[in-house]
Amino acid sequence: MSFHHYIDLEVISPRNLDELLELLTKLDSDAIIIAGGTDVNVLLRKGRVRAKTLIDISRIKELKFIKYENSFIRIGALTTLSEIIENTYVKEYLPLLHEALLNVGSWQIRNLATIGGNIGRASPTGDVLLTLYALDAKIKLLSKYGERIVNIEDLVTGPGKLNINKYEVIAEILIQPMLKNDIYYHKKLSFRKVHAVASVSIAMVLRQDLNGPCNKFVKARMVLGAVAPTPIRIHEVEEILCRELLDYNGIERISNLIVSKIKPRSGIRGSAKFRKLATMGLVKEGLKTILDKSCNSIKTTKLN
Amino acid sequence: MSSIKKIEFVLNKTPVIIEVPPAKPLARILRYDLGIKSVKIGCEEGGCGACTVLLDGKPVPSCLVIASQINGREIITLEGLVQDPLMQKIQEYFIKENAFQCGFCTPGFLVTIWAYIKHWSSIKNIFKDGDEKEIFTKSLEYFLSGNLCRCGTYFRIAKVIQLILREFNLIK
Repeated sequence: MSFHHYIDLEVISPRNLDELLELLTKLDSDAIIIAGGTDVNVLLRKGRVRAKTLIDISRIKELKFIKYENSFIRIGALTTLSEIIENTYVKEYLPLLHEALLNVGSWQIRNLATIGGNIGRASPTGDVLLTLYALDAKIKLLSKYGERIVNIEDLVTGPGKLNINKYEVIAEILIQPMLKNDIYYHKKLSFRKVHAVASVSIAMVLRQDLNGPCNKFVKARMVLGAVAPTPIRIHEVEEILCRELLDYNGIERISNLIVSKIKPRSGIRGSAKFRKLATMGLVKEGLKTILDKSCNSIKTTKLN
Repeated sequence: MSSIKKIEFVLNKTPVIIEVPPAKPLARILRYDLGIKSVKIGCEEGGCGACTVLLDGKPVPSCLVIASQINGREIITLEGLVQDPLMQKIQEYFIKENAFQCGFCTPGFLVTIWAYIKHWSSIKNIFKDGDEKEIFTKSLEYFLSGNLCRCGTYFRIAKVIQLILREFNLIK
């Protein structure tokens, strides 16, 4: 750990997007991008990341926005978590994202941290990444040579690792609004209730079949955090959830199946055994909550 | 080889020009270079809130902001708020309710609480409907959790906030 890590660091602050894209084409490998800085600054001070140059992109206004366009909610990569939480669009159409972001860090951290920075950091325990997996987010990457849109799952390849070219920057996040019949569940277990890193976490979105029984789902996404190098989806379980009617016996079976599929590592925030058991508990609780919500909401609509 | 850059910003309503390494944390600039003693150097990783300042009106841990990021922006520390009637009210209640022991966390708490009360209407809107007491308790968890008090005066601090919100008729 160094207390004077900053002395030799150069900082380049591009004033707009064009300047940044131009700069990215001629960067050497010991430069890193800093957005909110809530993570990079800590990693630098602890010596876990080494760099000679920081590219401070925090003042590029073009990457700070939230808008609704062509059936996508588009969030600029440099929008802070607080700005997303306070946005009425997000609160109404992406309640899962709203809720999950409120559980990130503290107010002070959320005022600095950006959504793009969270993706760039690609932490296996990241709450934002987990939610973006569950919401099937698309990521727009920009470079001097053009743009491309990729699925979040194809972008993140490991802890801190992205499938991205040196000259590209995460520009915006595109998410389709959730529907009224999308039922979601999100929970993270951590040492403290708030302002803590997840020991294990889960996010799921199940789309209820409006023409079927209340426990029939047409689309399911279940994402687990902190049990693999990246957040992971359990495709086999998602298929079961879409194929079969969900009931309490099914929930038992699914949670056992999931535990046999994951291989978490032991770490400072929990042993492998704890992570397996806790994940099982979260899956059970999550599916039960969703089942109760979906069948109760149908009952109330029928009564009315 | 170290590089030094000229940084201009507004500190407590006064324009300031300094020459520092561009990646130097704001907390160190404020405390060591500019003598702003309300800014405490605590964990230096954004976890304890002792260095909380307002950056363009929003509370942030100044240990995680670097010099180049404050160029052209407005910083307010506790020193800049002492003449403010709301801050004086918070301080008065802190003393009345004994809401501190060693006092190390207090400046950070005061700044966060000041911003919390100023932003109360938008904070309230963030939470789904529920009764006022529930929203208040929940909002404390989500908005005050960034400040740690090792003496454990949390309940007294929560009481101070509740008393002030009540006095301004913002909650019952």
